Amino acid sequence: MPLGPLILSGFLAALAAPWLHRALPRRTSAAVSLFLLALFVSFARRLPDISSGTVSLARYGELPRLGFALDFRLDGLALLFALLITGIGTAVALYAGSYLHEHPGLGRFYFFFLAFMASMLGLVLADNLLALFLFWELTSLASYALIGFEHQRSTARKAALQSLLVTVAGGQALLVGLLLVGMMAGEGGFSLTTLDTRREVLHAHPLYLPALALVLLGAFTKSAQLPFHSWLLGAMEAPAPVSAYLHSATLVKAGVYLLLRLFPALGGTLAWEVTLVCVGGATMLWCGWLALVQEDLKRVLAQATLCVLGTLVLLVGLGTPASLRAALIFLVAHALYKGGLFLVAGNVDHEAGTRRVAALSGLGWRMPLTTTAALLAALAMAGIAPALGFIAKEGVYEAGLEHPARVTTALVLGFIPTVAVAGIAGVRPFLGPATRTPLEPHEAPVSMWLGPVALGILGVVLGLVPGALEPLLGDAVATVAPGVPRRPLELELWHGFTLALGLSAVSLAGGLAIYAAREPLRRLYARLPGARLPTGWGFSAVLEGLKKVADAQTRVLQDGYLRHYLLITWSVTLGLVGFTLLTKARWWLLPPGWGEVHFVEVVVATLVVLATIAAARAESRLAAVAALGVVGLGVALLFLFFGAPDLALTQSVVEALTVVVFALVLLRLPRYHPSRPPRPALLRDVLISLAGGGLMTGLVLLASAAPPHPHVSDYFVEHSVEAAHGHNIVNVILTDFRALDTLGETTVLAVAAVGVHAILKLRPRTEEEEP
Amino acid sequence: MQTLLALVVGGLYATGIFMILRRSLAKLVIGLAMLSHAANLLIFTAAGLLRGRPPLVPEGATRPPGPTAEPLAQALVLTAIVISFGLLAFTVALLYRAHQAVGANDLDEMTRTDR
Repeated sequence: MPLGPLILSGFLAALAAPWLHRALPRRTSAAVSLFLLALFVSFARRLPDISSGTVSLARYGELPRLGFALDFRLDGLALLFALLITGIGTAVALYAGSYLHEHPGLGRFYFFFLAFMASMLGLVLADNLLALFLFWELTSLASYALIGFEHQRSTARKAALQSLLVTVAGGQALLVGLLLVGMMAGEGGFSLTTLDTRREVLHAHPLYLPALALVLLGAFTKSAQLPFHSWLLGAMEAPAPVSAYLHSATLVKAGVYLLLRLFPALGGTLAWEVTLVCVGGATMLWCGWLALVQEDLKRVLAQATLCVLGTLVLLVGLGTPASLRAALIFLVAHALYKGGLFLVAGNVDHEAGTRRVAALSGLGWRMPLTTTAALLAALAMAGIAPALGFIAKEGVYEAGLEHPARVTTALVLGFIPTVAVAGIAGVRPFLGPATRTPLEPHEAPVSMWLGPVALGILGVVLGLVPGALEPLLGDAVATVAPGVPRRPLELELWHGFTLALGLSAVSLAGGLAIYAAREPLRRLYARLPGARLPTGWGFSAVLEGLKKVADAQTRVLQDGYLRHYLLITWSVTLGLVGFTLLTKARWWLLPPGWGEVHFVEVVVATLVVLATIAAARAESRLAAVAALGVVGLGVALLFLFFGAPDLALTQSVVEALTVVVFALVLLRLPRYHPSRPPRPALLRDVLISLAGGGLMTGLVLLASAAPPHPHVSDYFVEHSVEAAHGHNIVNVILTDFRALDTLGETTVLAVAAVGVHAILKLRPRTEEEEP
Repeated sequence: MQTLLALVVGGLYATGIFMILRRSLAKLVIGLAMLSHAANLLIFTAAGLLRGRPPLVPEGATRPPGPTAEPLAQALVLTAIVISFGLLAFTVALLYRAHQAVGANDLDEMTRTDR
């Protein structure tokens, strides 16, 4: 099947799943799982094509002026991610049907789950920066809905909101960054395929650094790098299958995917390397070590996921072929074992009724299959042969050894707590003496252990036969590092006695030691200042600060006094327009003198001005209304003098109606306020008014002195009779050439009339009127 | 004549702005009416003035015999006159109702809804 229908089928399945669930509640999870398996197979069958260097491209519509095109491209990197998304999705879909089988919102779950899956596929397959961004945002939205799946709990709602705000804020930065990148790259720069060939142009561009910073901000928020990491811990409010799928295996890898995808175009500079290595390294060390003090099983795993994400970012930052290769192997190994461990944690929670690490022990014989899955995953996580995790870790160390010793030291220090966490989350709850748990634990149903066991076995089998991954990973590496000659990855368990093996031994021993000392370490941590701060306190503080600023700003700007609003509006207008007039206008073009002036016109003009002043100064409302009438009729006369009989007519009629309206309503308002405003306020108002009037006079003079140029109204004058058979050009414009505008005008009048009626006639029912 | 009308426009604007800055409801409405006169006259004047040559085509001809006043600006102003009347009617009704509900003629006493 072509790429577009593949992605579309995911969205269609999302729409269909709730209906299917209503009709066949017991079969839906199997159906969804099979659907994902079918997608998996469909992608897997393309592997030979990709290996032979064929890249499938497909275009489904474009908006050339915006640079947007719904282009999809399947290359090695995209295929790797697509297989992870659909493969792990298969296991998770099967699992979710049982895990949530009594939940009333299961249909909704399937919808968001599949919508997320399809968006994620779109994200990794997109070959256009803007299409990529579109799917990027869709994954954020789906993640929001899934974290807040149990929206009855306020903690879930809060966590969902935090993840949304953080990732969407990052998304905004990413959008600007991608727009910059696309424009910097020149013609066709929004296509990823083209972008890869514009490396030099992008690197030399003066906007390279700002664009890079914005793109990285998007990637770091999505992949939960410091200091944006806390949303991922909050996301553990989501049900276990969501945590397994979104928050370890796929969604959080989107940031890493973006970095890998843009590496050929943007990567390899000093700024890239320093930023990614520092941020990734800090995330790896900080979050890795803090995993030891978490008490909730899922939070322990989430913290360890943060550590891995940090490692991946660091590896992409190093940017050598070895480090990119290591990042991809590590990414696959992590997706397999961490997805499994999260599902295991869900089983434990489901069957034993608690996720508190301290309360769990000796579940082994009571949940043998879950335990098997957990131990296999722990093996991979701790990087012990023969699991794939071992090969991944060796690769990471070898990549690190190409760099100064401090990089390798950091990598080892970052891996030590991971080993300990493998013990805490994957071994400790299952071995040792049995403890009492809220529920009497027993084995989970087959749908809930099948997935984790399969992922665990896969992790070991791929470790034993790593050659199976060779073509897939080789293609992915070739995509990320295009210039590098392709060579075998040499994925093997046994490399001989190398330095990396020694480091493995060191980290394993260190991890075991930390595992043994975890309780004293935890107590030590609890005594540190700041240890009691809740997760996400930084986010809450920023949010609270933002609300306070908004509150204060509203208080200042919206104080309830109409004239303050008007004063602000007019001052800003005067400032901006006045400044432009003074600096840009060509005053010397104005014709000198008064031009041709007729006596009658001067009389009428003077009359208008005098009547205006009289209306303003009038002590009574009636006098003001009368003076205003004089103004209106004076303006009508001016229209008449200068060739506008229609205007004069309309103005006179409207003037008469206005007087009637005023007489009906205005006179019912109370008399004028007798008090006079204080002198400074009066002075301020007079000054603003005079400045406003002066500005408008200047505008009129400049506009009418503008040199004549071909005008749209020439067309109306020429064609009035020929095309519209009307001799009054103004009427023809109104009723024929611009008839739709007149329709709009009529609508406005009708709405105003309805509004007036509603205001005057409709009243809230008072209490006496109620029956 | 352009200059003179420009001054009239400026005068109308100045007075209109001054009036809408007052506290009285009635003055607000009068200020609005002045502003709409000012805007209409502004468009009309800015499009260029031509005495006694309305944009009409004589019977039997297909186009005006000479230059005419700007028809497009007149069409715009015609629309504006009618719309500003609708606006004025609506504002007057709204203020009347607000006055009934709040019982005040003073805009400063109508600040609570915004705070």
